[in-house]
Amino acid sequence: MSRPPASRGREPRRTSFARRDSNLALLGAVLSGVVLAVALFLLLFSRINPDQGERLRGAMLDAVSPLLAVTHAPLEAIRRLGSAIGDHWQVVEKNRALEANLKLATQRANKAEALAVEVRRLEDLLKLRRPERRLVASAVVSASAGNAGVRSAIINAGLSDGVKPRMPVIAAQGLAGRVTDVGQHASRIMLLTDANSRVPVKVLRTGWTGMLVGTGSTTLEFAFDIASGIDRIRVGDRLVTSGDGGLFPPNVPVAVVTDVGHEPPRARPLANPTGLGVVMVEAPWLPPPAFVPAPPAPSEADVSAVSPAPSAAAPPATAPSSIAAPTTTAAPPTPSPAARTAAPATTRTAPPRT
Amino acid sequence: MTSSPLSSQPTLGERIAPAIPALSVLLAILLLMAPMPLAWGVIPQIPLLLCLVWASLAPRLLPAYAALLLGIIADLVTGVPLGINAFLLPAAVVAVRMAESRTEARHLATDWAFAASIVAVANLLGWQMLAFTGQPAPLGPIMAQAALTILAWPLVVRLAVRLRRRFLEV
Repeated sequence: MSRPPASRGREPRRTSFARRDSNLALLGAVLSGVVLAVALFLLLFSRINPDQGERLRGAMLDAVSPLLAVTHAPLEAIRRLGSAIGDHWQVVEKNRALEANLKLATQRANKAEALAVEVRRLEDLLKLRRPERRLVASAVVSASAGNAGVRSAIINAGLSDGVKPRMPVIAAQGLAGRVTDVGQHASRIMLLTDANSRVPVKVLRTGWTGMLVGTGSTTLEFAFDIASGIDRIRVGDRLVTSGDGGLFPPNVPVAVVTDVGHEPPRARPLANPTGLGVVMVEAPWLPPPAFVPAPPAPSEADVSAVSPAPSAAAPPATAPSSIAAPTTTAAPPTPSPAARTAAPATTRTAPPRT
Repeated sequence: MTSSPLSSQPTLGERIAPAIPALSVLLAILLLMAPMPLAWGVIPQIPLLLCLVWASLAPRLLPAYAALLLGIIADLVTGVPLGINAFLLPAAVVAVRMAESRTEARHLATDWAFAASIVAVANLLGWQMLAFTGQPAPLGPIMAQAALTILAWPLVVRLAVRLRRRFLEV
């Protein structure tokens, strides 16, 4: 042992102090254990029920949003000042380029107008009903998390503005993400770069559809059917929402392809996740259909003999369990090619029953 | 805590002194949400580093249950599944305290290496916990964030020492 402490003379008090210290240490260890156990229980609960603490999250968003708006203002001012100085130096060249672009764009716009009239006429002939996009609220993005695991931002519109979870959020330059948590006056959106973000898109030039997958870093992956031909996607191709799945309205610009060397081509979001600015919250483009309860299932012998089982893409909630089992054994051909192509992207709309 | 002999009224600094560690972690959590234009899009995990540093500089002022509360706030603010930061922050505090009760000599390099190992383990655990709660994320950006966090350690130590000198040692 090392040297004894200075107050060695008072024997009984020292031992009582020592006992108290060891008791305190034991108490501290027990307390730490309890704290860690509580945290692990919270984790377990969030695995069992990911929506737990929804109200708490909302209340926290309400509390934090004004604070973050204050920190946001100077950063935004610096960003704007930087871009303003940059603009100032290139004003003449920019002006010339813009005038050339404008001439080209006017010609194209005239052509597009004529085409739009024709499309409307043809749609009238077909009696096609196009769902409308509905604006729910406009909001300012006040914060975005610099967290590698979860990419989210906070906007200053919430339940009181009609914002609900899953609504698409669109910025001036393109799609920003979707709403995940909602408070009274603020809500959190999942950005395109989040590892759990999936957006059904198509290549504007060719019309090929695919899925834009967030990676957790600043780029996105464009996962698409390899049969479409990977060699014919070019750097600079623009990706717009396809409207599959019914959440995002179609033809909203999302990203631009920046790298075709990798196996899924890489794309960059058009709306910069750190400088979103003002965004629009829209209602889900095609809200999920209200399913009518299925009629009571007939006896099993009838089912396997007579009825062709529903298509594989039908959501399992609508199929009673008694006819779900024969689906795999009988293996009927997929009812229509349309349902087959829509199957990977369609998550919320049911294909028509045949 | 300690009032100056000239005035009987404690100043604001003296009043909030015991809360300085927790307040600094809270501010760091909010700072993580500030929209900063960054190349990799990641900010060093300053809340975790501050918890590590305060656990050794002022252990009584940042007990494990305070770290639990701060972790819950961090989870709610950043939107990660509830329980990840709520576990990692108190676990880091407890780990630092256990290590300090066993070792005597202290050196900058060993402290930094110890903090680096805790940060790396915490990020790996956080990655596994994200997958456990059904929000799997790729490892690359998370490890980039861990590397940035390890690099930021000396700055955070300097900040904490300065805060302690200003508020806690009167």
